[in-house]
Amino acid sequence: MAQIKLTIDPSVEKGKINREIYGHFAEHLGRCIYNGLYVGENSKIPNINGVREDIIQALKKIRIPVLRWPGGCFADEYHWMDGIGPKQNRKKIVNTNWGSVVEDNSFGTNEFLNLCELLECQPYIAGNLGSGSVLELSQWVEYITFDSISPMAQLREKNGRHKPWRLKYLGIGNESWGCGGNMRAQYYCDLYKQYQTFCKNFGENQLFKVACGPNGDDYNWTEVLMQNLNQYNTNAISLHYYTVPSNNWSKKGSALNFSKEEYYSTISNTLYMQQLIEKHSEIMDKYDPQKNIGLIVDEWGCWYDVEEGTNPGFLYQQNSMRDALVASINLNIFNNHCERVVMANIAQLVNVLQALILTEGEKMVLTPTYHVFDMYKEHQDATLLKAECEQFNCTTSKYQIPALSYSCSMGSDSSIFVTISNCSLDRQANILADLKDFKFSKIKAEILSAHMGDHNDFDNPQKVKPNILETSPTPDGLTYFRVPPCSIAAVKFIP
Amino acid sequence: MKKPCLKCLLEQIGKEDFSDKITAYIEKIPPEELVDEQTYLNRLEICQNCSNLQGSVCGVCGCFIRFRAAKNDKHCPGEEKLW
Repeated sequence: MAQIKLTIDPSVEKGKINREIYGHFAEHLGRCIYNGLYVGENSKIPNINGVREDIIQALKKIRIPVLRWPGGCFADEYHWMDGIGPKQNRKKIVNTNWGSVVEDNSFGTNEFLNLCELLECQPYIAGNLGSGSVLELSQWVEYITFDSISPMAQLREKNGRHKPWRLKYLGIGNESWGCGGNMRAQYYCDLYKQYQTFCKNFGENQLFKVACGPNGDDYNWTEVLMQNLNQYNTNAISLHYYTVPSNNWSKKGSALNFSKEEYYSTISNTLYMQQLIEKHSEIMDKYDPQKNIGLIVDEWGCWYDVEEGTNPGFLYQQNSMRDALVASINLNIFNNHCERVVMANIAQLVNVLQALILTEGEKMVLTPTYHVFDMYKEHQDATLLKAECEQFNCTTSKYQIPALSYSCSMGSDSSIFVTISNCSLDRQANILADLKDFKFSKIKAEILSAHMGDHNDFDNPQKVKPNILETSPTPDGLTYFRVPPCSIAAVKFIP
Repeated sequence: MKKPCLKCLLEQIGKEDFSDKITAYIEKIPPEELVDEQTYLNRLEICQNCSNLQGSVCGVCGCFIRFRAAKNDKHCPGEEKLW
């Protein structure tokens, strides 16, 4: 079988891969927070301040860099003062639209920020612009970050926290073109500018303000934002894009029972992310050629029909090797566009959509998507390198898709790290890596390989997991390794 | 493809009557995977008195209790393992 040359040029640096590209998202939706991440202090499930210990360990292992909260759509209905103070006094709301799900606000601002401290990750708060007020949001920032005497700092102290937290990432409104208020871009810009004016930097805290960006290919939204906002009031704009196998929101397709054709349509639809990023970046370049304003893909991932017999409003879906491929492709795209893409947040962390972790009572499963984040973590804060790889296509009656997705970086320890996935279901990629003059003494390599529908569940939680990848030197100084069909490889060359 | 408004999607789903859908799900389960009638009724009675019940859904696993209680490979997902 033909060999495929992967050429890496360590002398050509193409930007820093922000660790926040490996970010996450936890919304008050379904069982993401309650009966997922958060089980409460009185649970028999081992927990730290109500958060499951096994989840904390799993997230530390992948070096979770940032966590977006409390939504999503929920953010524009969330009133943060409902979620502070003694828990028995917090507002309880029964959402009758949603199978009478109770929101008891037991997981609120203090719980979230303490969790981020425990995880050593950045909090990313999505502020309520849709149904809140300027005062409410400005007071939230004050409650979290004010470092002297003020009404909100005193309230924080009363709730048991003297020292302010650090808050860098602040989103102002979520999907303001849709559930966040159904606004026109121009109207949103005006509101955004008003809200952000009163979100202040207290003490040493510096906010990184994120404006609500476009829905998928709404390029006009980006154009209007870039015409109206600038680097002095905006650090980044967001982008939301989900991968739906069928492109039909009312019949999206099953997470586990899918055909080869659906597999390839999923891959094809996820590859669209590259076009979206490049076209939105093109517009941003017109107004901001210095790239002072970043692009944050703060909702992405696969969206399927919910698992049979589960509440459709909980958005609970299983997660297979196909999801792992989707994750690897998107992360490679983000890495390769790191000059503009400064953060990304997969939706969502636990039990919702393309989750990294599934729980049921005391049981926990790490999904194939989790393993991709674990394998890719060496890219965090590394420097993107120029890499070129020969390519072949997966061809079906409907699709012609490039099989290989890859990115390459150099870490602070001067090692070179390559991630490469092969989405073909029938052709192996025999890779010959050429690192030019780079000298290395050791290689550490992993492979995640399985059939397209293979997955982990509560009865068989280890079916899909990374294994050691064999590599071998060639007589002419290259490195050979195989990436089987439907597989993801991560190879680290250590000096 | 643009994402539709999640809130609208959820509200639409919230208005649907899932009773028929759950019945259809249960009818699709092979007989050898079903519990007997008495076990099914006992399980449902326990669920009805459980603090984790949210409407017709178990808050711990997110399943409609009628669906979960019907399957012989399922158990109560709660900490107390009530069935």
